[in-house]
Amino acid sequence: MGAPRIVPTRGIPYPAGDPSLAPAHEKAWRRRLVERALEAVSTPVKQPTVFEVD
Amino acid sequence: MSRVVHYMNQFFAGLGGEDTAGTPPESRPGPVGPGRKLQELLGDEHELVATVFCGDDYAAGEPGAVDEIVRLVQEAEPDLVVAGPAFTSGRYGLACGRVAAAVAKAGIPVVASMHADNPGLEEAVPAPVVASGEAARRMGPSLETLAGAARALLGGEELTAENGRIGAVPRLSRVSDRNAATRAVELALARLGGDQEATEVPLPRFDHVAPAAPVADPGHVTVAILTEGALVPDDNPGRLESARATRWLRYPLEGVDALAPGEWRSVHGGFSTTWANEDPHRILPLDVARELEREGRIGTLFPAYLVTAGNGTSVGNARRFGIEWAADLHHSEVRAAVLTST
Repeated sequence: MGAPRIVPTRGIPYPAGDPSLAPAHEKAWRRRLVERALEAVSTPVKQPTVFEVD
Repeated sequence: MSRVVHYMNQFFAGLGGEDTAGTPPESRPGPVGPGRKLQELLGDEHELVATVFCGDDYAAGEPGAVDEIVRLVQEAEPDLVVAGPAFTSGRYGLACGRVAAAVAKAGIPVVASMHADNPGLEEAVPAPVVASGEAARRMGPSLETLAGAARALLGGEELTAENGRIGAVPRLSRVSDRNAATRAVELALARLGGDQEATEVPLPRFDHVAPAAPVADPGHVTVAILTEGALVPDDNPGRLESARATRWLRYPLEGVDALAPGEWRSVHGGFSTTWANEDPHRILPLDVARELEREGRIGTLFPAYLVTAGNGTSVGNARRFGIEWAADLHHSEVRAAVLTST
């Protein structure tokens, strides 16, 4: 994609969610995504780098 | 004696770098900075009568900036306008391209100078652009090309590749002495012979994005949330397109802690928006961003979000949105951004 820092998510129609989860679990998943994105912007990278969520 | 007006950014006008990137446009009599060398190269029969300059953020991000610049240019009653060289500088290149396009539409001869990778190249149409080097260390040869093109235009010539012209040349109908079948076979033979470049339809080039330096601690800076998922207020007041977007929009988040279903919707035309409309946070994670802000993990959440529809967007528009977003966020002192991509 050319984006230098990428956090993979679970589907094109819901990049910050996962409708298969119960609401509370979905919000927890979203929080982990944003926390991972904050780690990504604090990490030096030289080329497009994927930051998987554990 | 012909009158030439030179457009440049605040840096080459000697005002400074990022700290002065918000400077509004201004005009000074005579050549400034690289304009002095340009005047030498133009010779005695052409006079560089005025220099108009503007900060990079202002020129690329402020609505109406190009009109203000063109007004100042016209006040100097030019026979020819030159813009740049902008090298590979994105905001400066966009400004040169837009100023050149607007000046050309006003009926004044104009030429801009930038590197072939500069996104401003596509903005300049219908104005001609000549090649510059990649960076200011190539100022000398870049100015020579620009001066040569300026003299050619003042002599009533059309610019071609021989003058260093790059980018799209407005399409004109022309009768070829070889029909399409002959030309197609010739191209096929050229390819079989190892020529990978020959084409009658050049495709856009995809470039490399240099990663920004990391922020030391998101808990001490302003962080923005952005999306190309086309999430807008329910009545889509900015009329965001669902495909092939030509615009982006900014909507306030001040005092908003959550995105209620029914008040927001995605107008994206490239996927089913059912899930997005059930819970808009699936596109824009405002709820958890606010939590993280309250906990100090995010210093300040930027009080607005930027949005477009990433669906069949042209490369030219996408690059323009990226540069405008970066200029806008930089100007607002945002230091990190999380962009959701559909």
